[in-house]
Amino acid sequence: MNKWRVIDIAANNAFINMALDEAISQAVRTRESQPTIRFYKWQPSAVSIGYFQSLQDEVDTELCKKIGVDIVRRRTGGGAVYHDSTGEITYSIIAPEGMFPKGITESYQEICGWIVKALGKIGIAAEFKPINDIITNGKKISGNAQTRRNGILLQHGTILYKLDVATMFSLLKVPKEKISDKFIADVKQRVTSVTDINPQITEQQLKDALIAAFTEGKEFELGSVTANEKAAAEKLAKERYSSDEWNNLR
Amino acid sequence: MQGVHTEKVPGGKLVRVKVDLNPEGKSIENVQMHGDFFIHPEEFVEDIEQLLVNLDQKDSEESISAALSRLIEEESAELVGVTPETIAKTFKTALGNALAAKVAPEQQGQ
Repeated sequence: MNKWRVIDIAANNAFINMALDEAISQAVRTRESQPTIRFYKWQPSAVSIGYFQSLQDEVDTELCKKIGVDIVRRRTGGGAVYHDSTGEITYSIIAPEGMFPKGITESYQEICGWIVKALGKIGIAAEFKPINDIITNGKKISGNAQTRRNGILLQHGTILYKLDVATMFSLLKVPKEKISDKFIADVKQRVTSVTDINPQITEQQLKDALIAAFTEGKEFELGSVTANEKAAAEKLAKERYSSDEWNNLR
Repeated sequence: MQGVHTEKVPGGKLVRVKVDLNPEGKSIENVQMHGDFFIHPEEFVEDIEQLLVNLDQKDSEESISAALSRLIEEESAELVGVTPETIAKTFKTALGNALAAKVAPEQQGQ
C-alpha cells in the first residue's frame, strides 16, 4: 500500500495537468493506484490561479489569449502562478492523508522538506517558510499548495528554474503603474530561481535532485499514468478545467 | 452598489471581500470572498459568504468574528492564512464602502 509510484517529468497543457492531479487522486482513493509522486511541466506556458481567487482580478486574460498562455483555476488555494514552459519544474504528491501529519502546516513542512533537501543536493541552501513557501537567502524559490479531499492529500508546487519577471507580471494583474523598472527590481529582491543562483545547473540536474530527495527512504517504483487515469483526466480537462464555468467560478 | 476592501492578514495571506447591496441599498445581496488563503474543504468558503449575506448590517466586527468561529467549529473546517477576525474586519470595511457608494458613488474608495 505504501509503495510509491514515481511518474517522470512530462509536459502537458494546463487543463490536463490539473485534471491528472484529480484523476490520480481518485485512483489513489479507490486504491487502483499507489500513492504517487509526479513531476510535470506546462506546454504551452500557463497561469494557474488559486481556488479562491477572482480570475478577472488576478489575470490579464486578453494578453494570455493573445500570446497563447493557458489559464486554469486550481483545486487548491494559494496565489496566481505563471508557469513558464521552460522556467520551472512542478510536482504533485498524491497519497492517503494518513501517510502525512494531520496538521496542514506540519504536512507542508514534511513535503517542502523534500524540496529543501533536493535544493541542498545542487548546492542551494533553502528553508521552509510557513505557510507554503520555500526561500533561499530570503527570496522565494518555490510555492506550494495543498488540498485534502475524501481522505486523499494532494500537494502540488513549483520549483523555479529560470525567472522571467517581465512576462510573469505582464500576465498577472499588478496595477500597471507599478510595473516599472523599480517594481521589477523589487520583485527580484523577493523571488529567485535555480539559475539565478547558479547558471551552471541544468534542468536535468534539478530534476534528478528532486527525484532523489523525494524518494529518499521510501519504497518506490518508476511508473506511468494508467490508461484509466488518462481517460478520466481527459474527461475532467474537457468538462471542468478548460470550461469557462470552472475558470470563472469566482 | 458594490463595496470592496482588501486586507493582508498579519503573517498570512491576502483577503478581499466584495459586498453588493440591493438596488435600494438597504440589504446585502451578495458577498464574495477572494484571496490566496486556504480553506479546507474549499467549498466552505460558500458557507462563509452565506453567513455574511444573512448578517444584520449593524452586527459588530466582534460578533461577526464570533459567528464565523462557531461556524468553522461546527463544520470542522480549517482556515490557513486567514482568520475569522480578518474576514470580519474586511467585510465590515467593504460593507462601509458599499454604503458610502450608495450615498456618493463618485467618492467611493477601493
